[in-house]
Amino acid sequence: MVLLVGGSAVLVVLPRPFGLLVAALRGGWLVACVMVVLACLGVGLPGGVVAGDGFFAPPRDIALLVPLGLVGMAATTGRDLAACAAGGCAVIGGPVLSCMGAGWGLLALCSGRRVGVRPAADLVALMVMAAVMVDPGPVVWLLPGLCWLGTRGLLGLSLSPHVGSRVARPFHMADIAGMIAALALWRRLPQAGMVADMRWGWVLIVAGCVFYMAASWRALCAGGARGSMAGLMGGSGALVIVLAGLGLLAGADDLPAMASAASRTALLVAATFLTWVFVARALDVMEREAGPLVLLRLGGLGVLMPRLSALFALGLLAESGLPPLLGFSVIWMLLRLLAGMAQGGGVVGDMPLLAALVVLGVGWAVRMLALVRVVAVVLCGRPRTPRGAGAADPRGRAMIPVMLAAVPVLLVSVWPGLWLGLMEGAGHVPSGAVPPVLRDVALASPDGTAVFHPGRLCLLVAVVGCAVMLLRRLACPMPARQVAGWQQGAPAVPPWMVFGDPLTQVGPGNPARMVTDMLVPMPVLRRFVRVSIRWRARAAGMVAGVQRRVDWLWQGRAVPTPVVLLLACVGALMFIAWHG
Amino acid sequence: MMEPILLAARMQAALLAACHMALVLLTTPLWIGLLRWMATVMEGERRPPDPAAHWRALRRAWRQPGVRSAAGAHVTALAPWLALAAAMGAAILVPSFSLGLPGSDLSDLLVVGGLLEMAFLALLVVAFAAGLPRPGHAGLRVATGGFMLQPVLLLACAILGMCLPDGTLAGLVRQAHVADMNLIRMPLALVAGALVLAGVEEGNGPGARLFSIMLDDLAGPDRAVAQYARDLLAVVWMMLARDLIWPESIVEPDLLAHARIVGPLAWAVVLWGVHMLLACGCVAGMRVFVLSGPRHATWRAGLGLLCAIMAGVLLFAGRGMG
Repeated sequence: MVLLVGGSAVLVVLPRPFGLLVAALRGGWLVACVMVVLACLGVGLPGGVVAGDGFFAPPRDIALLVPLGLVGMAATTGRDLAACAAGGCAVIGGPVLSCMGAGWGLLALCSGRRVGVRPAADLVALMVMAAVMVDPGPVVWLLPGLCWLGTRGLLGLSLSPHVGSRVARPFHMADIAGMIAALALWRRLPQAGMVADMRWGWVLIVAGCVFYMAASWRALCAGGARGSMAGLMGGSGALVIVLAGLGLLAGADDLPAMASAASRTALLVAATFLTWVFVARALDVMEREAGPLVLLRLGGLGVLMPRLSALFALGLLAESGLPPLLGFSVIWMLLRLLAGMAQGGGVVGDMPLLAALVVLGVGWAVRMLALVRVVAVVLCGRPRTPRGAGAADPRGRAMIPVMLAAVPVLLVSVWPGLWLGLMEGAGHVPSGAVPPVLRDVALASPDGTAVFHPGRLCLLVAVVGCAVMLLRRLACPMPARQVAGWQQGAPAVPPWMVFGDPLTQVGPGNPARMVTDMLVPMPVLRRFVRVSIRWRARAAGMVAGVQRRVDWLWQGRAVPTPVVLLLACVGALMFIAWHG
Repeated sequence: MMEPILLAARMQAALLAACHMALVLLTTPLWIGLLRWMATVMEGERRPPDPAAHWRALRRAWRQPGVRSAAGAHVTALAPWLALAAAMGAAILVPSFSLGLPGSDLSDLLVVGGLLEMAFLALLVVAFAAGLPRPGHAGLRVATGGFMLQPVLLLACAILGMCLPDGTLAGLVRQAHVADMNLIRMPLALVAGALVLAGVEEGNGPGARLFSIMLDDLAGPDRAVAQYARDLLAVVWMMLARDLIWPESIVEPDLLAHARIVGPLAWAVVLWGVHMLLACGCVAGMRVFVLSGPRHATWRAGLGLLCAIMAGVLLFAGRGMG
């Protein structure tokens, strides 16, 4: 692990990517992943486990290295590997090291040229959080808030609907590592002396649902495929917050079964990150073949690259929350958890639950529309540019890594008990014994009455699908004739313009506009926009006036980030010293 | 070596599943034809269409030679059949006249709703595949019209999960046979109404017109299958609503204990037919009298969500009172 971290640091420092080092680091992640899997299965490793007292995490918490190792194996750039190393620090470290790792992950994610604003507030929050976790004093109840602030950049939590390149980060492999690091931090909270608080639980649940909706809306409005994927992934990050809130609520109510179900669901969410691994690989291949993934220029990839598009569609299906793949299991568990949280306190007591369900459902619907938009614009239709029309499936070996990356997702979808057993088995199982959870193929609700068998559902879908395909083969022996589509009376496409008119196809801007049209009538919306612009201008004028008054104090100087960090450090030390 | 009782139970389950699927699949065009006939009668048309005309139109489309748009032909060839498979998967899980079907432990409302949603999305892909403007925009309008399905589905599943121990339709039917359902009948009826409002778009003029625009560039068996899958979708939603409202009318057969089971089964089939007729009438009436304005999509989504929230409020209020 030290070698991996050191190698990644060297790679980041190097001026240009060094192929051999990248390959060595990927191999190192493979080795780390295999070792952690062996440790989770209860196989005693030679040399044992380093028992750093307080510096490293206890051995049962390192299971998140398995998805991180898979991300590291699939990583291709130095930035991805640096984020993986940071995530590794966050997973294996104790309080201080994990917060440092999360901070490194933040810096690695925001290192683009366009994103000039360093996440100073997040770093300060992480530092204070480390201090509080080392020395839990009376401010320990602030921990969820600090963790929220510190991981909002990693999880993509934002209420902003803006999707411009200055505010939203496009999706890359490094984001997955950052998200695993954030998940590790959130899982560390209950052990850090955090007293479960019901108010924090409800706040986190409702905030997570709102974040889910905002992220889905960003996915619906994004201009590029990577931006859309970043929005979808932000939805997964919001689910982490919801589950943390559910865990806190279960702890406050003293419901251990509910808390363990919330923890298992968080592990399933970690398994959905594996889907993003192969989606990221597929996006890389698409970008290489069809040019920049701007939705206005993409189209028709389903016909041009059928195999890769089928894999991509499989990933989207797994993320959409529709049966029978993994996303559905997550939604099922989440729904059971939320339904189990009904307090029996009458209408008033349970209204937050209804509101959370409605917001979550609207977020899910927007997410589905975003997926429909991606499928309609990217995979369906016709190519819109010559560059896009030249795309083709990668041949031979180039396809193998993408296909291999899809295997774990399918395996976990059919048999989630395998993944949960692997993740929960670390440190629990005596050497050589088969964990009991490995035999468990079904998901159970917190109270154990409702049971869901993902394997049986997959079998049902497969059997019905095979029956229908057999019917199709028997009933329609003649292939259908293919003709040019009807063009609304327009003349046939001339031979020098094979791509059709891009403006007449389904564009990426339509769905969001249709949703707003459906919810708010157009004149009302127009009036609202006009009024809001006027008010914003007035507010900006007032702020500018106030700034002019106090300009002599500031004089336009900017405070550099190191100074802010230094001040925050001094403040944190004074805070700790003050509390003894 | 399998136990003879177990073997007999499995054979019975297979037989019941075959009867159930045959019943549902064969009567689907009939229900849709009746629904359209009722909607036309309620609109005051002098000469309503023949209820069997829909069946004949499907048969005619099936017999035509297959033609499809060359652009996106790979996708168009597969998507209608995928929609049919998903809708059939959902139809297996929703009991019509008897319990004891093979997948009864999977008959979770979320599973059924998810499968139906998948069929809906596969039908949308048919419209997008060719990349032509008119079908694509019609598809997007249909997708936006079914927007409220997910919140309604989540609320419905949560409410059903709170009413029942295991939250499946089979569990609901079993509980209806042994316990008093009057306390939760009203929330369940509201949930059923919300699901029908959000899921079924059959029966009104704009919906049918949009769907025929979506399938503009498709002819032959693929078109017939797409139309049939859409009809099956509506029928399964109505069956689901009927199961939530009248779970007592579904029998739980035990062929080994009773030799004369044919009578109750036949009575359950008749009851299913009557209830489906009622459901068709309700859907047609709702479409004609409630959701017929220019902003019918907004009304549909809002009313669906309102019904689901009202169901939750009623359930919680009943619990608080009790």
